[in-house]
Amino acid sequence: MKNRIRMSRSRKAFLWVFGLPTFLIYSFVCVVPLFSSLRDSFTEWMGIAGTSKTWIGLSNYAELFRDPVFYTALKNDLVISFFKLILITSLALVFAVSLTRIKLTRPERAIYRYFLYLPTVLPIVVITIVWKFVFEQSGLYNTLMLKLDGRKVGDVVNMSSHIANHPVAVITFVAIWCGIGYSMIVLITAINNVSNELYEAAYLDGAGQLGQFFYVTLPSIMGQVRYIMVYIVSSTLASNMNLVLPMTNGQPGNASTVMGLYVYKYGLTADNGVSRVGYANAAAVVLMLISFILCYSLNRLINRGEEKKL
Amino acid sequence: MKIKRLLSLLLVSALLLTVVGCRKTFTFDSNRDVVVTQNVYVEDTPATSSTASATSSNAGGQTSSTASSEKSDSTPAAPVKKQAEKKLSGKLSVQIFINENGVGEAAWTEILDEFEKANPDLALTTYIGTNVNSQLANTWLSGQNTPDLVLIDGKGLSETSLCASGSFLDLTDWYRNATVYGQNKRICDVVTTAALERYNGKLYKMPLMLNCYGLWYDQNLYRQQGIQIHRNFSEMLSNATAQKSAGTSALTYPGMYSNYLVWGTVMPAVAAYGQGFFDEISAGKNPKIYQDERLRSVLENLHSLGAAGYVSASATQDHLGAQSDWLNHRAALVSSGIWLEAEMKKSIPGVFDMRFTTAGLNLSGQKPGAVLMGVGVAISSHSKNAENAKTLVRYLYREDSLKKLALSYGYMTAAKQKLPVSAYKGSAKQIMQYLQGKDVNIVYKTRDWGNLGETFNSVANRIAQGKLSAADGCKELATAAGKNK
Amino acid sequence: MNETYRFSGSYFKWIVRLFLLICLVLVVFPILWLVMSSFKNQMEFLADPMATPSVWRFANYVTAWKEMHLSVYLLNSLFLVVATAALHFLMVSTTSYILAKIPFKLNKGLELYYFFAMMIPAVLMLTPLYFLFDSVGFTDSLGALVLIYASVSLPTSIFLVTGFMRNINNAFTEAAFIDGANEFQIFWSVILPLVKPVLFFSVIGNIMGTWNEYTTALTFISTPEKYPVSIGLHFMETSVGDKGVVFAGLVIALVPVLVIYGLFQKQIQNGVSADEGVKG
Repeated sequence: MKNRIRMSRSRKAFLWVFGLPTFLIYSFVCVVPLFSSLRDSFTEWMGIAGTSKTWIGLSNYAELFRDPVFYTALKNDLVISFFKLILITSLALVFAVSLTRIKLTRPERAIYRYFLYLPTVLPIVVITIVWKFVFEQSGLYNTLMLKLDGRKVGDVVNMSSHIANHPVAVITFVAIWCGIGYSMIVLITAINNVSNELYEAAYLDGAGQLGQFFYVTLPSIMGQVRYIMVYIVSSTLASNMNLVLPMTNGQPGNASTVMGLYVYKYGLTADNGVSRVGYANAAAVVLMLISFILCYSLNRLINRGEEKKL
Repeated sequence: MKIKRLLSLLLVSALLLTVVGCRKTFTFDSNRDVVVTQNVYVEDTPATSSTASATSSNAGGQTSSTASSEKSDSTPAAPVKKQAEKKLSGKLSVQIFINENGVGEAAWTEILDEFEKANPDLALTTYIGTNVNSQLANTWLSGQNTPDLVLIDGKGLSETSLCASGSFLDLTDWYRNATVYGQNKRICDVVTTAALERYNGKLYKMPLMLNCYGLWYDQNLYRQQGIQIHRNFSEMLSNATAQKSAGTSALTYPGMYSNYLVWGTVMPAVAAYGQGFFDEISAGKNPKIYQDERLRSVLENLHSLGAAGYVSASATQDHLGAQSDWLNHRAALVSSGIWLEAEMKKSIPGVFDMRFTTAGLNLSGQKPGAVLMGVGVAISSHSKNAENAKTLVRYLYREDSLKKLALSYGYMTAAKQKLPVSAYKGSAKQIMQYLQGKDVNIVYKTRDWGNLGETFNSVANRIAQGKLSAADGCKELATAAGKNK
Repeated sequence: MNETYRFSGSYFKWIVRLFLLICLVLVVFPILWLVMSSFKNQMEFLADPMATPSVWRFANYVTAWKEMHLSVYLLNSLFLVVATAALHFLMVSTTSYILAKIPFKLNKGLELYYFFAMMIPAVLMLTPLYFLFDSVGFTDSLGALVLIYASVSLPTSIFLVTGFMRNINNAFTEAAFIDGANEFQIFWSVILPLVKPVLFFSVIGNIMGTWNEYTTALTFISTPEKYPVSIGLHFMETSVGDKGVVFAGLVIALVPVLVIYGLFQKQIQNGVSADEGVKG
């Protein structure tokens, strides 16, 4: 057939020259570590070369499931993901619609597009320093509240630290702050790609502005919405730690810890005590499984929802 | 097409940069960064001033002026028998962490320079700076190319981890007979043996100085408020009440790193009960000791402070926040180590009379405890130049080396022979007076509680916030101690 | 484009405008605060972090630049970014082409194989990755980082680009083949231009992720001359006593990001990019 004929020399060359190196690099960087990580999760190891790696089978996993901190971390992860999912999706939709379907001037649109995406490109260092300062006891938020109330700024010692009392809420806020940009941009593109004819048809059918949104815009971009929802959940579970570590370090007393931080503390840091790489890997494997299950189910759920609508 | 051109440009520049990248020779000139110095001096005559160490190769040593044995304590160092020292050859690499304010850097540089001059054939490589621990962390992880000698200080270096993994050389036997460089004195006669920390019975770290944690206050503020610094808990509590009505909270600490809280407030009070009790608590292995009445009462004191709202620190505050609170007189006391003044020198607004105390959670009538912990050096077990490293350690135990270090850091020296208070500058004077005085009960930290530290930090943090009762805290500690291998 | 059927009710518009404005303030304020703080010195900063500086210390910037060796760090980051972008581009485009256009026995299996790692966060694989590279002696090298960064976002990029490539009618490739083009020419001249938007955007997204990536770089690089900016920033924060200088350094490091972002904004935003989700 046609395909057979076209397995020409140049095709073979292409495969070998381009396909193989990529395959090798990818395997080396992504796949092999996965298996060593899995293998290490069945051992007890300090992570220092030359120290013993004792095989302990499923003990790490057993210990993991018995540890209350693990469940706190899991709960925090789920809570944060849930709120991010809902808030980022809705806010991104609102922003996207505002910047495309609502008649704003061109400079306005440009400004908002630039700035609303900006948090995503800022380095974490900046984000965490700033927001930590805002929500701390003597930070901007409290000071503003005091000034509005007309009290002395020194009174700040009597106020509570928001980040200490509601760490998860603050973290979610900051995560949403820097996460919206990306979803918003994806949706803007999607909305811009919806063809005019559909809107014309809806208009002719007598759909008002709200109707247009629900019957034309939303269904057309459902694919992208599904993408960002899955993206939000998977990226949260994976990179939560980058926000939590500098801002609260899991404090107060593990109340705000997340899975990523849990793995990190046991595996990679050895500031106090001895690191337990085997245990950390077990936690990492569990996290990966949970992430996979969640994303997969979310994907399926939305898919089914889409089908029902049509 | 434009995109093609852009892409080809991208590829070409990437290739060029790769080529360039392989030949990078950026060097750092600031000596605050990692400085890799490979000094191989040409044959040089060593200085013959008061730092006379190496003697000429005349065999047979010199005559001593007086008796070669000396008492272990208070008499000023009797002249010692000098000893010939072989000049070293080969290599030696050293890892020295220096904090961001450069504390100790001058002393270390001076000492290492002297050592180099005394051993012209030695190729000495010094990693000294703020980020050395992170930079060399991978060498310790993989066991390859570790430095020969390391100063155990700073973030990024886990003493427990390195001891447990056998990364340090066992010095227990060597220590028994090692002599100070150029002298006949044994190191074990010079150093405060009670301060030696042993891990599983083995000696890995040789302490050069002694650090201490406690509470800092501004005497000016206290004078302003008409209060005297407390000497025990009931005084601390009454001070706190008075201060609160004046708009100052009593205590602040970095919530995120509550080991400052633990070592600055809880442990001194534990130490007030004596070395034995302190040893048990700091060992972290016996669950029953954590249910002890004495520990519980200390934690209850902390709890009443927190519950009454006298602690202004939030559980997630970092260093900066705690400093900020204290410097702006929003809090009267900050829990930290005796290095604080050096760290804060540049940030002090106005005139501060910085003073230090370890009193706080101890009972009335009980002398406050003070926990002295050794800051020292260890030799890598992977080292191929262990003999050179050992000689350097012996050099560090010379009287003037120890003196330089202690004065530079503002720490107490680990030598039995303490330095006179007048030699210290700034707030270190008051600290040494306090620590060397009669109103403190000195204990030495010789145990390592491994992973219990995390739990204790977390427990203390919550207790100080009033969120955990002392009884529950003790229970948590006991459980964690049971799991601690 | 969609001009005709937009909302133009003014009442609604102003509510939207207000909302957007509030969000704008929320976004801009941290950056303004950072810039403002960079002109203070440590003392003033601790005294009142929220006040405007009494003395505008431009010296902070000079100190930051000189002491913090930012020029070196920026060059390192530039190298990282360009090399990663180039490698990533090569890897993604060729592999997607193979998956989409070249039918051969293991095609389906290969696709699943690349998909595999989509869910795996790089951070968690860090330790095994380090020891793996250590066993071949390839640590402490920017090249190692390039390999890692380019590979980590492969799955998502491949997913996107393959989809696009599949949609390209085979007629184009057939025509080129009949005209005597070899495989590479078909790839380069026919397919690539057609997917250039998506490809370009995934690369740009990768760039943004690379610039700010911190954990992996920290684990692999130990000589200070090789630090990228993200590590440099972190170390600056911990090694410099004067917070004002630290903030000045942060601002300096921000400038390239803002500039590049401004220049490529349209491309970054107008497509579905595949960055590493560093912020969670």
